[in-house]
Parts: sequence; C-alpha cells; structure tokens
Amino acid sequence: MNVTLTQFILDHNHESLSSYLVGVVLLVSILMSGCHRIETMIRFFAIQSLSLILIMFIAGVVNHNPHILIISTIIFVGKCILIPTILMFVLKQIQINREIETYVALPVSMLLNCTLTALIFAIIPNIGIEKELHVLSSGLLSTSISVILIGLFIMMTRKKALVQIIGLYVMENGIFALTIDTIFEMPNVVEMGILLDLLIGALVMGVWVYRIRQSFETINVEELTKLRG
Amino acid sequence: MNYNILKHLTLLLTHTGLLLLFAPFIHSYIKKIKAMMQGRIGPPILQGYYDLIKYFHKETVASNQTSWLFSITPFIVFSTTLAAGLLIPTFTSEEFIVSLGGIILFIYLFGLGRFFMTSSACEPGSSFCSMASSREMMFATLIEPVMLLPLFVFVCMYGTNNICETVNQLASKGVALYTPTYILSIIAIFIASLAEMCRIPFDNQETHYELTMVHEGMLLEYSGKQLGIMFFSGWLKQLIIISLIANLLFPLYTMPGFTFASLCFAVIIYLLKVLIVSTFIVFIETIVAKVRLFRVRDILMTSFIMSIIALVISVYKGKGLGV
Repeated sequence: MNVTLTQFILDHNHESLSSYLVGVVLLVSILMSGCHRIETMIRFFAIQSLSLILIMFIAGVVNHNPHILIISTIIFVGKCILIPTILMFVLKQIQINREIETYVALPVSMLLNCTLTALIFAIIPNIGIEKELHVLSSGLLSTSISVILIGLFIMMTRKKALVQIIGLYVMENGIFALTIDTIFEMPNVVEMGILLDLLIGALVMGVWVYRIRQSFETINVEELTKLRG
Repeated sequence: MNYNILKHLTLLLTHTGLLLLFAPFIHSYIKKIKAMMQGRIGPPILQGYYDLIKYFHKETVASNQTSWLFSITPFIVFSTTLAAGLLIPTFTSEEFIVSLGGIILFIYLFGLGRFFMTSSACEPGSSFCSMASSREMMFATLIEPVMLLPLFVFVCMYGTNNICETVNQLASKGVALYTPTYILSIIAIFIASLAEMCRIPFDNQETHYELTMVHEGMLLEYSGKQLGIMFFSGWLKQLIIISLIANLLFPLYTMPGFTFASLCFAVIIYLLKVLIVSTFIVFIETIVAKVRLFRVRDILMTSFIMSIIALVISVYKGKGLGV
C-alpha cells in the first residue's frame, strides 16, 4: 500500500476525514429521494458507494488491515463502475429518463426523509446500541439506519420499476455502512458473495425491466395488473 | 476626544461609506463579467454610477392614484437596507449595533423593506406591479426560513446570534473551520441568498418582459429620483449579502491594530473577497438557466434540507461524527 497515503491518513484526524464522507452519504441519499431524473439517481448512487468505500478504506488503514486495498478496489469496480454502467445501459434501452408521477410528491418525500433522519439521529444515541456493539462512530450508525430507511422509502413511493431497483441498492448501501460501522469490514468471501449477488441482480433485473417495457410499453408497476401473453 | 470613540466613529464612517460607494460598482462589475463570459462587450464598469446620476437628475412623476405610501417607500426601503448593512462585518468585525437582535433583526429588516415595497407596488393599480408583488411575497415566505435556518446553525455552533461575533470565532479557528456542518450551511445560505438578491435561477434582473419580472416588476411605476433610490437600495442589498457570504467563507483577516495602513490593507482584502464571491455568482448565473416559477420552491427546499442536515449534525457534535 502507498506509504505516504497511509501516513497522511494516520497523521490527520481520521474521524474528521470520514465525517465529511458521512455528510456526503447522508446528503446524497436525501437528495436521491427527491430526484426525478433516473440518470441523476444512478450518479448519486455511485457517489454514495464511493464515499462508503472511502470510509471503509480509512477505517481499514487505521486498524492496520493488510487486505483493505484489494477489497475496496473490488467493491469499487462492482458498485461504482459495473452496476451504474448496467443501469445506465438499461436506461438507454427503455428510453424513459424521468419520473413525474409518484405516490408522494418529490419535495414532500425529501422533507419526510429529512424528518426521518433527524428522528433517527435523536433516537439512536439514546437506546444504547453503540455501547453493546463496538462501533466505529455512532454518527455513521445513525446514518446507515437512515440510509436503509430512505432506500425503503424510495422503493415504497416510486412507481417506475427501475427506480425501485435503485431504492433496493440504496438499502444495500445502508447495510454496507452498518457493517463498516460495527465490524469494520466483512470477511472477504462474504463481501465477494454480496457483490456478485448485486451484480447478477442488476443484470437480471435489467433484463426484467426491459422485458416489461417490451410487453407492457411502460415500466410503471401500477400497470402490471393485467395479464399479457 | 476619547480614542475609543474616535476609532469607533472612523470605522463606522468607513464601513457605511464603503457600502454606499461600492454597491453600484459591484452591480456593474457583475454585469460586465457576465457579458464577458457570454462573449459580449457589456456596459462600462462605472455604468452603475452613470445610471444613478441620470436618475437623480430626472423629474419624479407619480400616478395621481397613489398615496403617501408610494412616495415614502423608497426612503424606507433604503434606510432598512442600510440598517441591515450595519449588522454585518465588512472589512472589520467591529459591532456597530450591539445587542439588538443579530441575525433575526438582519433578516427581518429586509422583510420590512420588502413589505413596504410590495404594498406600494399595489398602489398605482398596474396589473404587472400587483402580479410582481404577489410573486415577491411568495418568494419571501420561502426565502425567510431558508435564510434563517443556516444562520441558526451558526448560532448552535458558536452560541451567539451576532454575525460579527460569529465571524470572529470562525476566524480564530483557522483552516479547521471547514467542517461538514459549515460547508452544508454555507451552500444553503448561498442558494437562499441568490433568491434574496433576485439572481438568475430565481429571477432574471436583466429581463425586459414584464410578465417574467419579479423584483423589477415592482419598480415599473417608479420614476426619476425615487426609481434611483429603489435601484440603489437593491444594489446595496446585493453588496450586503455578498459581503456576508464573503466574510463567512473567508474569515481570514481581522485588523490587528488601528493605524491608517492596517485600515487600508483590511479594506483591500475585503474588496478582494467581495470580488471573488461576485465572480463566483456570475459563474453560477452563466451555467444555470432560470427555473419556472413553481420550481423555485423545489430548489429552496433542497437548500432547506441541507441546512436541516447541517443542524442535525451540529447538534450531534461530540458524539462520534467528529464534527
């Protein structure tokens, strides 16, 4: 590993370095819930994954984990390059790039998610999870739980199938953040398995969305109640 | 004469003089740089002063349907704006109005001016003026919380509602002041102040089409000296907000001693900061298109959410986010 980079991270207060990244993760997930362009949502997902990977990298360097560079490179290739590329490709195929109709109006959903985040930040430190688990930072704990719930919110309130898939990935990023926070990083095999799962998921669901578009001429899940041959 | 009173008086006069003197310059500077960025030549850099001289030489004409409210409004707007200007730091962080409400007074002095402006715009009965004033009120309800909330974040962080005191505390932190909370609230203040200054994503100042006017639309029935004062207070407000952002962004230099040389140096540093921020505003204006009237709400909502996140993180201070 690059010695100067390690020294840089160790010299500086790693908590303050990762606190910027935690802020980015939180902001990007709330902006995502109020975003109507699917392309922008995919970019935001890539940014969110990148910040989480950097947090994991910093935590690994601080805890002297020798494999951290390999693991983070693999996750970077999967989450920041392959999955966004696949989703962008599907987007180009189905030729729908914005979502206007949702169950909850987009600014309202942004405000609701903001309230949700504030509530979680108020509640989580008081129920004493971080005393039971040995967490990296309790700010990251609250952030990861908010990100999981925001992902769930996106899946619940959006009508387009592709956006629901992105919501699923946001939820997965939240779980990823939770694992970084509680056990620093997963065993390599588990990490690979999850990544492979997500990649195959992106491919299968991409094909699935494309087929829905082919036979129903829409990817609106409300239209999927009729049977078509 | 007491040395302290003399110092205070000199600083006050320089502060007020700078604001009054440079407001038209900054306006013309923004116009000029914007024209250059769009590949035009643009008006001369002193056009603001020429305009003011022209307006003050002209006769004031008002509709006979208007009352006293219409004729005193320019003076009220001008004086509230100047009073708000005394609350912010420019080249010095000396306080001129101590313990009088800080940021809340600052925001609501603008609110007072806006109230008189919108009421007087309804007086002549011009439909364009009334439409513009109703739009301005719609903006005002959205801008006020979005302007106040990020400033409340600074109140939370530093325990004072005085802007000068906040800037002093920021300056004492050095490079360590750029925390996530700070960055989020600065972005939020910046977006809200673009709306407050009636700049492009929200309102186009250079429009000549009455239907799209918001701020300019309210001035349609004014003429001569009154119009000059109205324009001047608009430019003054712009300079005040730009200096607020500049001083929050780069709270680098506070005057060490009180000599003529240090005063000049502080003024030059201040002007450089203001020019940097205005150039950045021009840059934003050039790359961003004006949004539809009803999308304004969404943009301000984004800024509001950034400040809420900043508030959440700042309240969370010391509990592990490392802010």
